[in-house]
Amino acid sequence: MPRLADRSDHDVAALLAQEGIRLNLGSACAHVRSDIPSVAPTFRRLYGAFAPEPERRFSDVTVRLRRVRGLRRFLAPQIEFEVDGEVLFEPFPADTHMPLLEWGMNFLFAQRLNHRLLLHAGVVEKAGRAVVLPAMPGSGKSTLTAALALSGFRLLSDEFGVVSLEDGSLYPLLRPIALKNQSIDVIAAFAPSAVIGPQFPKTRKGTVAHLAPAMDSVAKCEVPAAPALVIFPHYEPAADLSLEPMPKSRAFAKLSLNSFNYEILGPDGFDAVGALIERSACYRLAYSDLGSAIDHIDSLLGVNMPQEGT
Amino acid sequence: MNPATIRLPSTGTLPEHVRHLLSALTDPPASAEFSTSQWEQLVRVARMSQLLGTLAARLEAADHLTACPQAVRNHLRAALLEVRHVHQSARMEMQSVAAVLQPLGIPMVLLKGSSYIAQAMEHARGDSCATWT
Repeated sequence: MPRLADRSDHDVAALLAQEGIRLNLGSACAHVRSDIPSVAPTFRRLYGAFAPEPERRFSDVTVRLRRVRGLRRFLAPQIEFEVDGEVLFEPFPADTHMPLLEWGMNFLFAQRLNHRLLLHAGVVEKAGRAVVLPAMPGSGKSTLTAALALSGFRLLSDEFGVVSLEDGSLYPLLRPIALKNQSIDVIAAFAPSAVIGPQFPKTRKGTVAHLAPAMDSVAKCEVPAAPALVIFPHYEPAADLSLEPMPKSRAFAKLSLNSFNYEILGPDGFDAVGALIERSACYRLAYSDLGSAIDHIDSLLGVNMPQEGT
Repeated sequence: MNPATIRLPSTGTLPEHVRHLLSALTDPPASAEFSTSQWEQLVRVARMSQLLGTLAARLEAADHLTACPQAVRNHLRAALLEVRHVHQSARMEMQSVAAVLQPLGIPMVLLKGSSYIAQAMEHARGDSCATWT
């Protein structure tokens, strides 16, 4: 099937309104429907590199954006997020459709994908080796992940670091990256060719706009990457870059607290975080300039290359 | 109501996905015949009715997990891990309460779900309902 980018807004709107669109995001398949015509152009722009999956494809989540009925729609129209026929969450204003869709799907993945360890982290890859960027308050994780994805790294995920309990590899859960507030302009200036969707002001995270994942990331959405680096980023305005190795015991503690389902997985979660830390070099990175942060991450990947023949 | 007047609907009148769920629960090998879309409906209805854990436990007990499609197995594996967590939390809570009551000479009586879990009874297996107190 042709990619969504090669279809018209009209086609995409019709698909969303009728049979829906199944997206293979790597670690999960999402079946999305919507009866709101204004969703289609944004959806097509942000998921343009995806081709709809056939109907026989198993979907892990089945969601629908729909208009809230009633007289209120003439004053301040609202939309709601429906999962398996049930409405989750309070309605959102109708003009914040994409944040509701993305946020709702994140909620579902965090609840359901308990066959794997879910870290709250951005993940990118180069030469088969993964860089995990855990989200901490003020880390600038999404901005850095977006900048790496626009600098020759393959994007696996911005929100979820998905770790297999079988082989310890990182698996993609590919979605648009949600950029917030100043980040939007920072990324637009960093890479003028970046495909960024419309801005949604006044969400509860401020203004949100989404960066569409690139075609090569989408094409490899089922290809895992071996853990290599765990970097705890910290954005400090106007600071010089500083990079410090982090003791593995400390990295373990921080990473386990940063997981969505560490507790649920019990001993399997403990082993998965342990194996990830064991196989990765761990650092704390304070940065203000994206370019130099990326250069340092790039050279760390080179320095920590596994020795040939060992 | 006289129990004799309670009648279960004949399975023939139930929607297809409910019938599939019932047959997978009572006769795991029957699920070998399901198509992907039938599995998808089944997993959704099992999740909605809080039976995904029970389904996973029964398929596992029948050694039938490996026969399920990979995508289905992921959900079943997740459900088993969730159930293990719920049961462990329940047992821990029971032990904590017992540790407080015992020195006071007050006997602890477990009812319903908690007693099934404490006795590791077969029908507690896979039960993910968090209401054990």
